Amino acid sequence: MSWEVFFQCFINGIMSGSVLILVALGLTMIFGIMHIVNFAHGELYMLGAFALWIFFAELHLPYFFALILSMIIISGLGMVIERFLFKPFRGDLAPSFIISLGLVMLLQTGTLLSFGIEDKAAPTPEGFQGLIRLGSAVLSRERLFVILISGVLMVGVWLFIQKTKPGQAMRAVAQDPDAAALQGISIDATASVAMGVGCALAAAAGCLMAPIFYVNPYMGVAPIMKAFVVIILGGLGSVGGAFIGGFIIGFVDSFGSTYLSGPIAAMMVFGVLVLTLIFRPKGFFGHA
Amino acid sequence: MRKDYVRYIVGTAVVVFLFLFPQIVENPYYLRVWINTFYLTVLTVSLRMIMMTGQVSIAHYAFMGIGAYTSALLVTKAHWNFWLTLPLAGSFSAVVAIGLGYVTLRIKGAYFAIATVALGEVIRMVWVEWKGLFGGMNGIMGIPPPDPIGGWAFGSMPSYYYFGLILGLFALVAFYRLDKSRYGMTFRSIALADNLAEAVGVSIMNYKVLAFTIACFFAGLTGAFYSSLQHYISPMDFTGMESIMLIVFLVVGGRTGILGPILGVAVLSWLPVLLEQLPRYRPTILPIIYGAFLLVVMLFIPEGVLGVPGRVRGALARIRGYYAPSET
Repeated sequence: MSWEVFFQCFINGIMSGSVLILVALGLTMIFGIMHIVNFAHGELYMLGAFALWIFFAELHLPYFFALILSMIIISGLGMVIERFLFKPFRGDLAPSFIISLGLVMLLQTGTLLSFGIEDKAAPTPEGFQGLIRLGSAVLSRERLFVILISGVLMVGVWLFIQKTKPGQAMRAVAQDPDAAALQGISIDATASVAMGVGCALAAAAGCLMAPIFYVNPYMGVAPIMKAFVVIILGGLGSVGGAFIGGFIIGFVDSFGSTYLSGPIAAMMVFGVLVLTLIFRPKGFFGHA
Repeated sequence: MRKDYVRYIVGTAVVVFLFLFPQIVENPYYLRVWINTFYLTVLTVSLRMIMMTGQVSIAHYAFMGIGAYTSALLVTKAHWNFWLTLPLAGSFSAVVAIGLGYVTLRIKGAYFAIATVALGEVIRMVWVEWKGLFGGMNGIMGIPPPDPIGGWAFGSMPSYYYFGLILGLFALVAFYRLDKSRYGMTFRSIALADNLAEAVGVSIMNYKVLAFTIACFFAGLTGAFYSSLQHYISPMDFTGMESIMLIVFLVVGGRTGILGPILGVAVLSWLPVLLEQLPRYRPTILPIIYGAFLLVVMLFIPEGVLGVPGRVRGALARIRGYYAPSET
């Protein structure tokens, strides 16, 4: 129980929390605007990681270029999915849920057939390899890199939602779609933007995790489950809630798996979910 | 009236055909596909009961697993007679369902669906972590076939076939009766308008838990059947993905009547058998086909395969109406 272990857990918690927040932000925005529970969001995260692997590890493009390319492609894919598959079921929970299950099967197996089952490794971007020593604590640079980039993205999203016109339109639609439409806000366009931004964030999360974990067709399953816990904790549709929920789950996961064990930590995460649902079903920042 | 006759005749013919099938066809592979069809039908029809109250459970396979583990442990460790463990497996699964139902059914819609994913995972983790009792990831091996009843010995493919068929028919009769009873009506009323149902005096919570418990009882029975059929169970047999497959069957078949899930299971269980005739077919492609089925059905025939005849009839009537000179 030395402080070094504690400190490393803390950094790991912040890292997994920030990546979770990136995934959860997309989920919560899509829910807030379209009232759709997108189970296939984890598959977009997975495809983002695969795109990075292709561009960065196979085609040897620069890391940041590959990251941005992956975000653009996945956000385009997300908008296509939104337009053709989710749009008919906007606001209808059960059918959209089933559509997203179909998508999970299609995307997972499609990736499996195209790229094979074996794990793919993406190298750590240059300049971020190696370790930093702080006293007796050891930190890997690539984890700090993940925290840095996701921090930048989070601030970007926050500014986008608060300051820009499309961001304000998103908040307006989430609050009251009818009133927003009366003010001349296009709900279709706003839904597209939300899906696009959400999927770009999921892709970014996948790209950030690709060098740390392996890339495989099933890598999206675990983060999506945790991201669901995060947004339920924070309140479905609440952006602020996703930030706080993300860090809580990140810390529970990191400290739990270090001081107890991996499966126990996972059980604790789900335990937090069940308790939240029982005692405060709308989450801690929810307004639904 | 006439339509009822047709229905009874077709129904009887199908049941007679199914009873004679092992006498005609000896290929154990086809028998096995039918056995899968039978137990998946029980699971899907019981899941439909939960969905009738407007809830989507992704923990159904976990409840099947509770039944499977109950029976397997009693048979292998305590050497109980399988037929004694069968009702116990169902009952234990139902008891767990009552407890967890009162906790989780307070929440609705997407929240419930996500909570059941978590619930299923937690149940699976108990099996993984409690290695002493449940064998961890290795599961339980060497589960014997059911004990003989009178002169009937179990263990051969045809014996499992008849066991599965009778289990399936029992479940179908039970759920058909429930569907047509006051309970069925009450379940549907909760899905349609729960606050209205509550206002006219329906205790929503009790009815939801009732539907959940009955469904999980049958899931537990199926679990016991499955453990004796496979002779081996592990936590990997009861994942959320398997539960999602049940939802696929239900949606593809159609949710309005009890025939829908049967049709969905039958079509999607026999589809791979047909596909295997294709030269370049690989089983890994199956989820893509299922996924595509799901999307196409949701987008174009939301009422499921069951709704296709009605649609065709409607389209034909429209064409006839268009071409026929109007009488009036």
